[in-house]
Amino acid sequence: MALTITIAFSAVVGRAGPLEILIFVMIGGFLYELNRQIVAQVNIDIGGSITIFMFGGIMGTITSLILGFSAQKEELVKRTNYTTSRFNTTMAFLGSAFFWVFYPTIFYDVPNIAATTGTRTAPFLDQNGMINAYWGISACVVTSLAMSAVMNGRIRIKDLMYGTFAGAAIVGTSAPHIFNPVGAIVLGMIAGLLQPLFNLAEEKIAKGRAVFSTCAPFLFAVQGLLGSLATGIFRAIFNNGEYRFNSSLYPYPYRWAEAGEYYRATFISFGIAIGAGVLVGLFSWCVTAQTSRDYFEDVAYWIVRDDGLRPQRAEVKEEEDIKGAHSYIGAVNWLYCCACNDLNDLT
Amino acid sequence: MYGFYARTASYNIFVTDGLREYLAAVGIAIATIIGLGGIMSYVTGLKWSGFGFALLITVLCYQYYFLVNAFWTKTDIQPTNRDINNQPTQT
Repeated sequence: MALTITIAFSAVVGRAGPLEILIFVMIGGFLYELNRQIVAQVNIDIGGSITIFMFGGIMGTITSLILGFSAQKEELVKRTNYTTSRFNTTMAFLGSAFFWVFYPTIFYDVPNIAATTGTRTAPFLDQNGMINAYWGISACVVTSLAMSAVMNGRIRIKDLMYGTFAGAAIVGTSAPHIFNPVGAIVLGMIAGLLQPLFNLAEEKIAKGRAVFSTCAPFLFAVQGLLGSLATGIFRAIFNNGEYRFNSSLYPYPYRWAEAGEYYRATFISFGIAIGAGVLVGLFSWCVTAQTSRDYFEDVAYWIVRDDGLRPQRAEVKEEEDIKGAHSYIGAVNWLYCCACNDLNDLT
Repeated sequence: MYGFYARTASYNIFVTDGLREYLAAVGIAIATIIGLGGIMSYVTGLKWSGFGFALLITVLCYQYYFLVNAFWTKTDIQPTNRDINNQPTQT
């Protein structure tokens, strides 16, 4: 649930604060659990292509569309503070690397989920689920890198960064149902080929408009939808009677009934996600969208300079005037001011 | 050097179901807070908002989930073959 709500909130980060987070958690989380239990009637969705990525992405997208009709529409169109720097990009890239490492742990508690829901699930889920997730994400990152180099001549860090999340979104639900490494790698490659194109499309759609999202729609929602559709295909072609890795891709007989169950769950989830996005968006719009604030700046919600312990900048200057930079306190304060100025220059 | 090897428990660790759930929750918390928090910090002015709001969402959800799970479980949407008093049903 935390992953879902964070994915949804990533679409409106910079335009929403703690109050909107409360709305996201209360309403979005309530409908998330409803959606998850409905999908669990069909089969378990451990990796979360349907219930986490697609649901969160659609909910965030709808909310961001509604919040686009706010009091500061012109400010959103210009979005002068919506810039990035090497420091921020590096932090985002590190976050992507952490996600690559820790996302497959979602498959670790599978035996506890599988025991309560059904008998039509593949065994050894905790073994092949994690490794398939690693294969899928890795293949997606490599393919995104190559695709970005082909499209742009050089590598765009954004394409590489989003490759991790795209790979996770597309391989999530399928991972426990894949018993051949080729399946996971092919899924990852498909996501990696599509994600740079989606990034380009997202930029073109958002250009000059107030209604835009940071990274939710194409990255999470569409990749999650593709992953859920791929799960149906894997369920149709792989026989759960052979619980082992094999090199055979012979699919006959197709089991379309099982695939249809997954598609039914996918589109039910799609509808609930749209409803959740509309509810959350309307609540947020009514409560907070009409207030004026600094968009895409931490100062709107955080006390950035003063943590109550360090002297204020005005006091530091006075300290320097009295004691000079040669005293211990003056030197420490002088160094602190230099450091702050340097950090400001970097950003 | 002995302190390097000292442990609070003298028995081997057992991988119970509860431990598996805890490790999965820890992994997802790290992936959410650091992973998604990092990617939300992509914009220059949102360094603190990205990580801070990711942490806030995670801690709220970890507390709130048990309430909504209990609510929807009692509505019996996901068939568990148990009635409202946790007794096995006839089917």
